[in-house]
Amino acid sequence: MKEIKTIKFFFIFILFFLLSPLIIAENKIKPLDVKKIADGVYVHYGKHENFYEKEDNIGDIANLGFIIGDDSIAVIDTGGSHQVGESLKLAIKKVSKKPIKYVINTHGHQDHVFGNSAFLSEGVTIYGHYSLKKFLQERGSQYIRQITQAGDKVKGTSLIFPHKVIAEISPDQVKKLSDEMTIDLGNRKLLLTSHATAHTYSDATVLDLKTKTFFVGDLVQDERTPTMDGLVKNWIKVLNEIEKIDFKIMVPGHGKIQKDNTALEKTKTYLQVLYDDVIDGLKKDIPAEKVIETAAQSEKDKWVLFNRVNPGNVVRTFMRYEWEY
Amino acid sequence: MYRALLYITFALFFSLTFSVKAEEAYCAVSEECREARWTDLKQTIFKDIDIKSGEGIIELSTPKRAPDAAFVPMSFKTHKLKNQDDFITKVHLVIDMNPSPYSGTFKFATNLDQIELATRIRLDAYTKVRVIAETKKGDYFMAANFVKGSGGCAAPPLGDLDNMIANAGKIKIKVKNVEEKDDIAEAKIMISHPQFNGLQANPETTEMIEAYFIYNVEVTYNDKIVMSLESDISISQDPTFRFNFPVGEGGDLKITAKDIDGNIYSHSEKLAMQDNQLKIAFQ
Repeated sequence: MKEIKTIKFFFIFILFFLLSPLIIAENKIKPLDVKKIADGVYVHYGKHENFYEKEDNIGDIANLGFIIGDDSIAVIDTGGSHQVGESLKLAIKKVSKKPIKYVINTHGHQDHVFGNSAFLSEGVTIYGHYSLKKFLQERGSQYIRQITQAGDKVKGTSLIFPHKVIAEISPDQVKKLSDEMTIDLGNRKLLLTSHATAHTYSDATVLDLKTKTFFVGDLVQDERTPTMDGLVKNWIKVLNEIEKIDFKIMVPGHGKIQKDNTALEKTKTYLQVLYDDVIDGLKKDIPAEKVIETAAQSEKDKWVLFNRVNPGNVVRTFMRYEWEY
Repeated sequence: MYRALLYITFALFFSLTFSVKAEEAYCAVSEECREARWTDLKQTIFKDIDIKSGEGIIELSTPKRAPDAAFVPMSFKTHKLKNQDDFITKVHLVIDMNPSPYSGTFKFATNLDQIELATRIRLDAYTKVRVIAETKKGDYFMAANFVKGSGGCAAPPLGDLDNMIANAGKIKIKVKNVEEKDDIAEAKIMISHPQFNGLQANPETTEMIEAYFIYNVEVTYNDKIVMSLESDISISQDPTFRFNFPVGEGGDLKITAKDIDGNIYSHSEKLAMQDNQLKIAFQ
């Protein structure tokens, strides 16, 4: 009799052990910290950490935002996992009970789109650059692998493709009339723009016409070293266009919000130095592994995570232009 | 009854704890796991051959962390050897954690006392990268580095797919003298090829792209082989090789590359000395 009692106790003990990760996991989802930066416009600042690398990193590294209109809410980027998306959703619900109708992805990188799945239950329409779907399909096998490798901490994260493209399409659905379009949140219009290949080939920006708050995604970065996953030269060109846009507050994909073009210029300078140094290396026929060590080093002290991000930028830029020299 | 439940619970508990530790994740952190993996691979590839430490013979250089796992620069260099019998004729490349670990065999001119080669490889997971040098008389020497980098095998191709296929097989050669060595020149060979490895998805259709890669490269100088490679899926898109070769008075440098679709690409350049500098001669 006594033996059974002990076993019973032991059994409960083991069961508790088995369930404890689930209990802890449930509790982990807390609303994200968000800041009001303009009337009806909120931002969450991501941490400058390496994606999924530390045990407690669940992909909360990018800046996320939401804009509240009279009728509905639009979310701009959803974070780097289903969990981050859920936390953002909780944060939004704490601020407003209006329906979340739109999700806009500024580009296809993991830290901006992996939270999309959390908003499907709200019945949202997801908008992205007209090439975003292609971008995500291309990265699909790589991204899914990354999610699997990260394991339980990002359980439930999946790739959700955009439902609609950011572009004005002819009524017969054949021709693209413009790379711009507007959505209305009720007495509040957002101007969405798809850009040419720059940071990636899926970059889009969101301009809130009411407060002139400008969400530029990773086209502009502050603090965290920009990742070059598109074409350096084009990126500089796109920044030259964006520079002319009249805004009050700029929200970069990483780092602090901006009142002027300081971060934009800083991003542009980095890209120009990166490009010049790589081309110089190619012209002098210096091997890639050496160019990695020297290119853009003069920019090093201006950025966070420079030694992790810059080498990849150098290699990809080197590869792109190698045949021309 | 309780006892049975207890056992089941135990079994569940342990299977949960240990099954998640896949070899890949485990080898990323455990040197012991890496050694076990290598023991298996060594047996499969090299059987009972005795592989000695490459210290003082061959040096491998790789970044500690891959800047981009689809394009990881790697190079190896042998020390200057005195005895003809110790000259290195072959170098085997093994990437432990790649889907196809035995990644290639390089062959070199047999009359070189010092070999240097650089190329770019893909890494699928954190892995040991190994080069095993084989000498004329049949000794084996190994150098190995651990490199952090993953996802390079499934990474999408860089650039436009159609363009890549249209340009497949374009070859470019660059040569220059090696400083302080009159008789040795350095060649850089670039072959435009998508190097699809069967693990990448097509962006348009999401279907996996069929494997399509170069498995053989041969470079001859005045009809003698100066570098050749039997390779597999681990060589990056647009394969690039930089290596040394004995130059003499000039002559024909010819490259022939074959891919698994049966295409044969070749290109040659006439090399000549001009003002003590090796140049590609205008024809």
